[in-house]
Amino acid sequence: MDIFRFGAWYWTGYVGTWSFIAVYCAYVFFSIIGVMQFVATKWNLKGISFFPNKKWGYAFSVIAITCPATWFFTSYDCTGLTFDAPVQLFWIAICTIFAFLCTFTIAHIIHRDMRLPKKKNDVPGGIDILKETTYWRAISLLSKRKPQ
Amino acid sequence: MIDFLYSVDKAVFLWIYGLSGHVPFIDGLMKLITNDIFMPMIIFLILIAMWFASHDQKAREINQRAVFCALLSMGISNVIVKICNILYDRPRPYDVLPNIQTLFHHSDDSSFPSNMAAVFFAVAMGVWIYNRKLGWWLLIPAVLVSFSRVYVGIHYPLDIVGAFFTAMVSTVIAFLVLKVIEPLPTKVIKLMRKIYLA
Repeated sequence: MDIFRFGAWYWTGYVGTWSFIAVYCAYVFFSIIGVMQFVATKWNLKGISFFPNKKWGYAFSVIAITCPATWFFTSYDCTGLTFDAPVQLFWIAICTIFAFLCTFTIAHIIHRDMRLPKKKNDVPGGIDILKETTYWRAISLLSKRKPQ
Repeated sequence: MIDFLYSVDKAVFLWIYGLSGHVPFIDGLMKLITNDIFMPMIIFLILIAMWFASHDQKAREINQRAVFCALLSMGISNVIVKICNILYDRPRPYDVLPNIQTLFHHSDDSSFPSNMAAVFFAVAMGVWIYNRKLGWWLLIPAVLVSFSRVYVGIHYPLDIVGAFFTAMVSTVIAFLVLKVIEPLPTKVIKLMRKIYLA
């Protein structure tokens, strides 16, 4: 195995520049944020939604998915070698985690006045709880209540 | 018989490849579809959306199992393609046929079967087992990617057919593996539900 295999050039793909990785990560990050907003809007997960209005939610998700993609694919010619699959998966995983954390945090700030139902039996399990409250508030329940 | 198959394969390849280079917009679209980033990203976003989709918890759980099956099937198809590549080294069209100016980068691995097509068919079939409607929809990107691989001149149509059958086998294996390890997917979904992510 090449001793430089896991060096910086490997993680920057065949393009070999960190600016390429930065633009790629921005593209992946915003696309995932866009999808999360689409999901939140479509399935009424208010606790992770950025917008009170459905139209704005859909509009934001379309913009968040298409604009970074356009930016990325017009900035780089992807008909050449770009990534090995493991490198691509690595960056996608990192961006996914950050996009999720970012979505949860922004929505938590926006919906800071969202409260949980007072009755224990009214608290839904799984992601259905995000219809009632924010993710971070739901997570805080783990130490207090048993989920259904 | 095999010679006849290869001659048909070559003829179909030349016909599809012959479509390229005439309309710049379609060439650009095919280059976009066939590259290693665009369509995999779209599939990834669809799988994320699937994970959270549906109002009903039971329907959502079926989608989540479909995501597991699609991912596992994708992984298995990659392994099968690697094995096929080792066992049968088929040169790429641009290595054999004259005057093939590909629209995409050259690879030095075997042409048969198409890895990218196998992955997309595997995802579509993996989802199809659990969610027929969405599975049919996901066949559209799989067919588009398959067509674009031939259009840009890096695969023969037979490589795509091989990829289709590879995906079929890998999906069946993935489905059986998920059945065999059954408590595990359920436990993972339950764990994700506990932390409000499923």
